[in-house]
Formats: sequence, structure tokens, C-alpha cells
Amino acid sequence: MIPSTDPIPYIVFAYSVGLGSIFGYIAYCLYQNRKLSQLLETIEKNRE
Amino acid sequence: MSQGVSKNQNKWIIGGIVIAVAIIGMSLLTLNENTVYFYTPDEAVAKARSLQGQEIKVGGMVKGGTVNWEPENLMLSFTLSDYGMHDITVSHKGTPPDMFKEDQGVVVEGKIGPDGKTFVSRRLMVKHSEEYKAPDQMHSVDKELLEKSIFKK
Amino acid sequence: MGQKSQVSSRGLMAGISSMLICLGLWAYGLFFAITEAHQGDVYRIIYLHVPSAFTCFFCALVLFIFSIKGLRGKSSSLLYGKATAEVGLLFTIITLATGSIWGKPTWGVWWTWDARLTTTFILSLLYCGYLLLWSAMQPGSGRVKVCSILGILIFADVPIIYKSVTWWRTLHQPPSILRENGPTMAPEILYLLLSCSFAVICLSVWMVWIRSQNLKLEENLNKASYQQLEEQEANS
Repeated sequence: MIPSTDPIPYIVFAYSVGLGSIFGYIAYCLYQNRKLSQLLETIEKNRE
Repeated sequence: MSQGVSKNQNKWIIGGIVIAVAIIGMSLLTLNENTVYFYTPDEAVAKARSLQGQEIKVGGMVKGGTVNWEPENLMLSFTLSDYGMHDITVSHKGTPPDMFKEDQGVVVEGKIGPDGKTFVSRRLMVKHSEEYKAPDQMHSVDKELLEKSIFKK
Repeated sequence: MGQKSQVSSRGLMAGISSMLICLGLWAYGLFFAITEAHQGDVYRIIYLHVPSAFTCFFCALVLFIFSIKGLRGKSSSLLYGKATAEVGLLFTIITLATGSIWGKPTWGVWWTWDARLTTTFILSLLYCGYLLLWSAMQPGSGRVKVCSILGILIFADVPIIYKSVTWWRTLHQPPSILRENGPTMAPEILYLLLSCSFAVICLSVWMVWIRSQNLKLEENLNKASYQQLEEQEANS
């Protein structure tokens, strides 16, 4: 009766949003961690 | 909190508004008994006269053998039923969702006729059941689940 | 200070394993799991949508625990509260977005204000409110109290969200797993879904952990900067 909608664009859209935001957040956290650790190390070194 | 840097104050206000909206929203949902998400066919038929001119939602089942689809002018008509005493003939312009079929649950949004026997649908939503099954010959409880979910009081 | 500066290699391994397990399960759901009889292949969004929903509920529970601790005087719990609220908000948004994307080809609409969708949207607003208040208020007992109370409110929304499809008439379908006569899911789908849910919750725990590490580092950096400033002033 009605042509079937292609599911693939919806699946791709949903998983892109989900995976993109999860791994984007994780990547940001790891990058931040590196930056902050280095900063802390620098400050502690300067105090010696 | 002695110092109010204006940026912080804005965050305060925004935070407060967000929370107030959330609380008000929650209260409205629980306290407002007039907000019915959809009427069942018997309710819609009973209230049809008083609901004239209003945009309402009615939920029911698509009665087998009543679906008529005209692809040339995108006109769909079918009977919305509670498999009891109340059948409503629905007309809808536009292609229905893929899962629309006989014995499927639907929620139509639009205007009901004064006698409650007809309905002009502006938006048609499929209300499918919570059954997830493998594509084999296994027994399906789809219809029972739908009736339970749509026609509960 | 005694604070672990870099993420320990054990911590990193835990995160990487979590991520790989989630990716593996999702790949299985996308390419190897059965096709569903009613919805076809589009149902595969379930392996992301439902675990995300369970995860944002789980984060609300964790936030609740930290909030109780906060009200009992443990002010350091507020740091973990911020991390938890962030991760909770992330997964609530993913739940809403994936649900919407799944809704369009199945229900026929991207959105509707039924009780399930509305209460979940409210959860996202509550998480936002928590984070806004957290950054707007000055650190201290006032902030701990306000945020902890909000953390409790957030958790109160969770059972409402869960029961919304039972208590009210909704477009969203009722629960498929925790129900009177047993799950209405084919075993293959059910087991994969539960595995994904467990894996994503574990991943979210690791995400809260690493974010908390960063917040602690920031705190220590602030302290170290102040100390440096004070020392400079004392020497001049």
C-alpha cells in the first residue's frame, strides 16, 4: 500500500548523534586531563 | 553571597526559571485532570457535541476491512474502533506512517463531527505495541497489548 | 596535595575496555542482530535509546546519593555531583534525540507532548538547572544545600518517567521488560538490550570518574595559583 521508508538514514542519524556526543565528551575529558595535569606539574616545578 | 557578578546573577535567574518551569510542568501533568492525551472512541462520541471546533486527539484501533487509500489524491479513510459499540470514520490527507495497517493502534489529531461518527484528521500517529519479536511464526500478542494500552481508563 | 595528576594507566584501560565493549555490542546490534517483525530494521535504534534512558536514570540515582551525602555535611560530594549531572544530562539528551529519530518512521512524528516524553524533557531541564546553579552560586554550604535538594528532585522525576506510560494514556508504548506476565521481547533482542544497558551504565560510571578527576585537578590548580600569589606577595 505504501512504499517502505528506508531505515538507514534514521539509524545513521541516531547513532551519529549518540556516539558523537559520548565520544566527543570523552575526548574532551581526556584532552582536559592532559592539559590540567601539565599545568599543575609546571606550577609545582616552579615552586621548587 | 556577598558579591553578585552580573554574569553569575544571570545564571541564578536562568537556573531559577528553568527549575520553576520544570516544577510547574510536573505539577500541571499530575494535577490537571482536564489534560487527557487522547480520548477513546466511546469518550469522543459521548463528548462530540461539546468538543465541536476543538482540536482533539482520539486513540483506537484500525478496524479490519475498512482501510481505503487513494494514492492519486493522498486521501486515506478508515474506521477507528474500540471493537465495541463505537466506530468513527476517519478521513486523513497524506501518506500514513509505514506501520499503519489493519488492527494497528492509531492516535488521530483533528476535529470530530457533531454526531461523533466522523473525524477529520490533521495528524495521524501510529501507536504500536511494546512487542518485539523475531520474524518467525511465533505467536504474537500485539493486538491484546494494544487494546490494553489504548483502552485503559 | 597527594592528587593523582595524570589518569592512571589502569583508569585509562578501564575506560578503553568500556568503550570497546559498548562499540562491539552496538556493532552487533546494527549488523548481526535479528530484524524485528513489526518495525523492520529501524528498531535497532533501541540498542542506543533504551540503554541511554536507563543510564540517565542511573545517573539520577548516583546524584541522589551524592546529594544526601551533601546534605549530611560532606561538601566534597558536590564535585562528584557536577560530574554526575553532566553525564546524566548528556544521556538524557541522547535518549530524547534517539527517541525522536526513532519516532519519526514508526509513530510518524518527531515529537508529541505525552507524559513519557514530557517528563523526560523535564528531567533534562532539571539537570540543566542543577548545572546552572552549581556554576552560578559561590562555593559554600549554601550551594551544597541548594544543589543537593535539586539532586533529590531530579531523582524523584525518575519513577514518574518510568510509570508515566502506565499511569497515563501515552503515544509511547508501555514497558516491554518489567511487566506482569514477563517481557514481550524475543530473547535475542532482550539479552542484547540488557547487555548494552549494562555496558553503557558502566561506561557512564567511568565518564563520571574521569570528569571528577578533572574537576579535582582544577580545584588543585586554583589552590596552587593562590598559594603562588600569596607567596609572591609575601616576598615582595
